[in-house]
Amino acid sequence: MQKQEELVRLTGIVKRFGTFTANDRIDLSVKAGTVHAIVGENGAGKSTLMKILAGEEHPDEGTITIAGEPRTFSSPRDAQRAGIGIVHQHFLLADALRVWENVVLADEPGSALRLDSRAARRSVAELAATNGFPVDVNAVVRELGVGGRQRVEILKVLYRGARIIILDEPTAVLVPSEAQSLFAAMRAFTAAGAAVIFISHKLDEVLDFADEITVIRAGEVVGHRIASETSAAELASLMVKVAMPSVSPRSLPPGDDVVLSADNLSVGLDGEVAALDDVSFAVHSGEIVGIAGVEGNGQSELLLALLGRTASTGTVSLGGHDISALTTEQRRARGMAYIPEDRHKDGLVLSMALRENAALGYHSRAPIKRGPWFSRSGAAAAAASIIEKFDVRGGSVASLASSLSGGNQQKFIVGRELGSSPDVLIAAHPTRGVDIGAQSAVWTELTAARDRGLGTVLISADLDELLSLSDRLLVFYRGRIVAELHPADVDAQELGEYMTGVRRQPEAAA
Amino acid sequence: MTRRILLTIAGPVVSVLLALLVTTLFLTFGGYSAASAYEVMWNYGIEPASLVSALNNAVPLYLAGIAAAFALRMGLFNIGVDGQYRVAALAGAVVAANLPLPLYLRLPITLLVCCLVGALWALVPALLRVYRGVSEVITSILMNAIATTVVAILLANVFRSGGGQNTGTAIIGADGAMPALVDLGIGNRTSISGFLVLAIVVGIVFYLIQYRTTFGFTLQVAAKSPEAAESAGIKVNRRIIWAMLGSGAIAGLVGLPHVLGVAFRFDGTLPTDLMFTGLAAALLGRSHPIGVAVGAFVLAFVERSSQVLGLVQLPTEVGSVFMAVILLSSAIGYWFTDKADRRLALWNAIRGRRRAGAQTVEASS
Repeated sequence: MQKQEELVRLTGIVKRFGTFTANDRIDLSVKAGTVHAIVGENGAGKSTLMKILAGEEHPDEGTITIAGEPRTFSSPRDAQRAGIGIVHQHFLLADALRVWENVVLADEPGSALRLDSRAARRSVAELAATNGFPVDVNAVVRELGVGGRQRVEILKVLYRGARIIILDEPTAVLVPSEAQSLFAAMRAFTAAGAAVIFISHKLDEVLDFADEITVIRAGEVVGHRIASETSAAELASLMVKVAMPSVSPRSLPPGDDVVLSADNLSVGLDGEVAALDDVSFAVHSGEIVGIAGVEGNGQSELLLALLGRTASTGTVSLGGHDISALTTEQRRARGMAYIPEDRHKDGLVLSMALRENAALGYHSRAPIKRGPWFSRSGAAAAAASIIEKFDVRGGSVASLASSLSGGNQQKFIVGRELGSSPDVLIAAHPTRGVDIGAQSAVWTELTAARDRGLGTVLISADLDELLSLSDRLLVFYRGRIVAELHPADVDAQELGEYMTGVRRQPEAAA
Repeated sequence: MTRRILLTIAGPVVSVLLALLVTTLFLTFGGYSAASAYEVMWNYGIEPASLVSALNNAVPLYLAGIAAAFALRMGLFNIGVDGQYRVAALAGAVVAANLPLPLYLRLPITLLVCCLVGALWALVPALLRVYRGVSEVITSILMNAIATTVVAILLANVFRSGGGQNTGTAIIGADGAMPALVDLGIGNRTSISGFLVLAIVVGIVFYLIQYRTTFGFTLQVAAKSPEAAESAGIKVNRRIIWAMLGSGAIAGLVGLPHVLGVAFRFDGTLPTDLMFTGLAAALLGRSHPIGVAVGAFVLAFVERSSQVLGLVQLPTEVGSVFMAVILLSSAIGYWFTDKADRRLALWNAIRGRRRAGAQTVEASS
């Protein structure tokens, strides 16, 4: 192997937010032609470090050297010019614009007064083709799935000629097949001499696809490893000193009572392909039913239909009563709880205190509602009890939800939703993008609630999560249930074949 | 707690100081003595008659400010307050003059009718926003224009009293008008209007609804995160409609202090630009009922005291300049105090940590 050029060198990077030190004298070296993974718990300072490298934050101390040249970035633009591109965990795309428009935005070809849209479209299409991205450059971004949006983000970075590509938790939102094609693309970039830095929580993919791994804990580098010479167990112990979460097999069988059932449930506009197509299933008390499927195969619509947030046909029953005509508020009041897909978007109000966030979904009943009044003390008590029972760290009842780390935000949501002892829980990606410690805590809570008789619909893109927690698995493909499986009888590979429509059970289960 | 109160007060104070600064520059560059202008204004402003007038004038500004604030808390800009109060004032004038009931019934009914008409006028932008996605700013401005025409037509063809040169509705007698709260009797026109009581009641109701009820809570959630609101079972579209209805209902009262307390009929003398000054009061007071009250009084005080400048050969535009700068500077003032507040919080945190650190050092040594 030839001697590899060092593309990025960070020396002694320190970044403080107020009294909190996010990065404490971090050194990092990334060579051209390699994939460098950065792993660490939520709040360990990985994203901050990447933002510093991408010119979005200014380090308080330390130097950045790009290809041997010392640099200071006063804006993301400077970093772009130095060949650095970043794809954030939460995408930054203009939903109303087309793919090619998003890609060329702020670097449009043509003169100052005229956008050469033909050239732009052509160069974006070429870029997509050479990188093997099957993206329709004329599609409106709003209509793309998560995988498609991510490809657009990567195209944006490539379009600006980035040689150092930073991916912040790129696989958090992807299913295995999409992740595989992303990794293939990453390999193509490194073969062309670029360096890829990616942040991940998933140690198996880090081990499979990274060349070098840097572990960060509490803002400091605690280890640097070559992927082929380490193991998941070693990385995990470096990260948190907590064992990988495992779920002990259940001791009690699920109950016989049906707590939630969907009959011939469909969502879709007339004359269009139904996003959710005539789905029927039942959930028993004390049972976790896992919903597997590639993103965009009807799971989101199922969530919204069960919760009563979208127009649907068919019936939804809760504890034997038809609740199809009820509003979300009424369904919640009757014992339905909901862990949303995206904690930032619809799980929490980030600019409100935890006290107010604890009241979300409970505002129409005691103890939050007293007569017409909003009981601040009731809300504060609810928040305090969630913080205590579910070990939410880093905030008090009066601190803003935005001040918590992702894992603690998620623990807070889980605590809020389980706090009312619901009969049915609709959980979407309950551990997406959280660290092992938080994941372990959430899993423990979900199984404990299950043993108390909670019926759970678990939607997840994490197959390990589905296989470890579910009592039964329903596989969604193109809005239909194509298989009903027992987690003990399948492995991730087989499940993946069902999810991608390669295999299907002859009697599509009900 | 004291910090929060201080912070609430600091915003408007900074805005007023900035406005004074700009007004001083304006006067100085115009070749006038700013100091003497302020002295004249201040001496005139603190005369009892001026204070009473400022207080009475602050009432409609306050109502307009609270109406704007009701929608602002839901993240909506009700620019239609002008139209809402003009239509409502016409309806109120007709009811107050013609309803054959004693005052203690006629007055509440008049107020109620005005609230209803104002709310209905605001319902149009709300429905268009919810069902057609049209910005409430645009539609409520258009509704103002429609209000001008509708009021003119109704006044000319339906509600005009008598003939000839008369251009107003029928005169409202003593059993339809708002009684004076108290007449200080220390000179000309020193009676405080009963609308002061109405303003205080509206302020309290506003506070209770917005800050203390679960309804107010759902409005806040819907304003800050519509998605989280829907997940929690809060119907955002309903909140939009209720927020606009509430805003319109309060806006319906804005014209009444003039109709029931000054002109005693609806005619061309009704001020037509109360909304923007009211909006300034709402921004100055950060949509808090007490803050808006202070803002409304300051603005009314300046408006009143600047009138005297004409008598001493100084530009009366000083009042308008002051008010315009206040509108701009209320935003800057808050930015400034927010920043100062964060800096203070940081200092406190560092000091607390150092103290804690020193203690552990002492303990361990």
